[in-house]
Amino acid sequence: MNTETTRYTASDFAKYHAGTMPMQQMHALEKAALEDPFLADALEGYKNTTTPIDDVAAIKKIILQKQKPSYTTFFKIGKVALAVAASTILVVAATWFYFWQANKNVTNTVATNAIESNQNVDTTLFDDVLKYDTVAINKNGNVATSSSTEQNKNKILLPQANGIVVYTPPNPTIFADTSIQLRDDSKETTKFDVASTKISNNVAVQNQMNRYYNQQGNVTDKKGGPLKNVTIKDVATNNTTVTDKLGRFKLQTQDSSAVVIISNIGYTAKEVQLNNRTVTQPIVLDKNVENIDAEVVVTGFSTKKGETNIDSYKEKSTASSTTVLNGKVVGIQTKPQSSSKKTKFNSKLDTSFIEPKWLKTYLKNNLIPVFSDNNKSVKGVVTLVFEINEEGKAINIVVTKSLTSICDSQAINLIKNAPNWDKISAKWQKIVVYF
Amino acid sequence: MAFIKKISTTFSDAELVQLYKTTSNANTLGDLYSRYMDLIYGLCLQYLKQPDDAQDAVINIYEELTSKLKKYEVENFKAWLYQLSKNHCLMKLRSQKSKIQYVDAELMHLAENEHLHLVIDKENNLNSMEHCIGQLPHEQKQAIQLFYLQEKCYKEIADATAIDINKIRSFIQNGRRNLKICMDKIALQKAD
Repeated sequence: MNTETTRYTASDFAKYHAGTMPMQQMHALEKAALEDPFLADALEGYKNTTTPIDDVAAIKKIILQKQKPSYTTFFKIGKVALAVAASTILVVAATWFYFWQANKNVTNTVATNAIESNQNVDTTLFDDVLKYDTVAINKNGNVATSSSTEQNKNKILLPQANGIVVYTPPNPTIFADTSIQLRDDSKETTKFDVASTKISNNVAVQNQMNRYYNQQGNVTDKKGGPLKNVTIKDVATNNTTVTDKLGRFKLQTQDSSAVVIISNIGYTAKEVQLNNRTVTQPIVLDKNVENIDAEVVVTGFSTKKGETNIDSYKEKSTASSTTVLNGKVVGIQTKPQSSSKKTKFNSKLDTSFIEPKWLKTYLKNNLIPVFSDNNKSVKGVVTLVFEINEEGKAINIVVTKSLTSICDSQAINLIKNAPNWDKISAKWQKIVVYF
Repeated sequence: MAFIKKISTTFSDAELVQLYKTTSNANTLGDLYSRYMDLIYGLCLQYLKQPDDAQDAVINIYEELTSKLKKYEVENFKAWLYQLSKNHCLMKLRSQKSKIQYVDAELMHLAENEHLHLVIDKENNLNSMEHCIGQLPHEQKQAIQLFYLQEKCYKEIADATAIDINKIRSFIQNGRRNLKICMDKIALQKAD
């Protein structure tokens, strides 16, 4: 709102609806309303009152009164009075805290299955249910309570393994107004089918949806720069994802506090517990200089058409893609990081892929050495998996092993701009580029 | 009061928001709020219909604002306030009736593209605009021409064409939307 437009008031709206406004001004107001939905709603709304000017004056008066107390109290109370007040508040607060704590324990024992959890996921998601004593369940199975008491506000309850969510309202009187709503992501609210009914002052809600938790976060290096193509692997489910250009990732986990392994070539892997992590706190990876090799080797392998899809590679092979290649591919020497997953892939791999003759020279001629900040040349590997389309062009290139963002993008460009691939040899390609 | 007068003319919304966040001065917020209070009251009337309910809502929104404004990063105060007020009204409607209320589709018709005027302003787009107006259905074309080119208000157009005023409004809104689509297409073609 940089351009200062006319600020319309209640009297303008009154005139408009009464028909006492000149046609020209009416047109100007209508035109402004077309640009500004706020104004348009307001204009329409004034149809519903006969005394607009008095109404607004009354509201103004009340709001002015509300502003006053903050003014007077501070100037009139002396220092001594302030000190007394402060100490009284302290005592009261301490007592309240003690009783609150005690009370909390009682609730816990009475409702043994009440879940005490106040991880703040994304309170803005539930923003418009905050005012009332409401239990809202979103598609992911997270339950948010919003209550008129501070204590229970924004509490996110998590369903138990059996899908039951237990919510303890702040007190039985408020409970009478508690409503349970199912919220889906389209922000529409429908009444939730409550499987079980009220038991004392607990509500048990059966949640029949598949539950998963959307975890997100970002990964940076020590200097705070985003790291892309970093692998994030859920230890429990082996689900894997990679970070995007800005170092961000999203991962669905079954556990709200899932443990993931975060790894990237050239960096020390890290084990992190995600607690419905929001993007505020980045995960920092430290550099690891040992993994670095000095030769330029290019190799590839193929898979049988239709037998393997790219997703299975992305999910399972990222952590050990070099291991998979070891011994299977002409001209590659890899140091295995772990040997656990190897057998899974052996059956699916087809070693009949013949590396295009031009590939080695092509890469050799076009690879530009990359230098890091301290002027040392960067060494390591970038592994790429991609698809070859009917024109023999590489599409859907995915970096399964990343080095640095510059090396990654160089490798991608080389593969993208390479002369036509032999489309008969294989549909899928995996290429390791050694820097 | 002189002080209040002064700040309302010299400070922008964003500055007042900043000021309130740092000083927590209720007068600052009151002043900022009074700029939009008439609009908010109208908005509440639009949703809640009853003047009494709407007045309560305006006061409640003010109180909500005192805490929320400190918590959130607000870039565009007016747009944010609009959303906050709307949510407040919808929440109230929801709590009034245990049955879920679906907001009348008519209410939604105003949430439109704000950028049209920018497009229209560009002189080099005038030709394509003329072309696009020509492509509109007859009724929309007529309404758009009367409203934008001859600067008639809704009532005048309704009187002149003997069409209901609400229909006139929807012709203009739909015409605007179609115009925008058409002009965007032309702009894309030119860019190619």
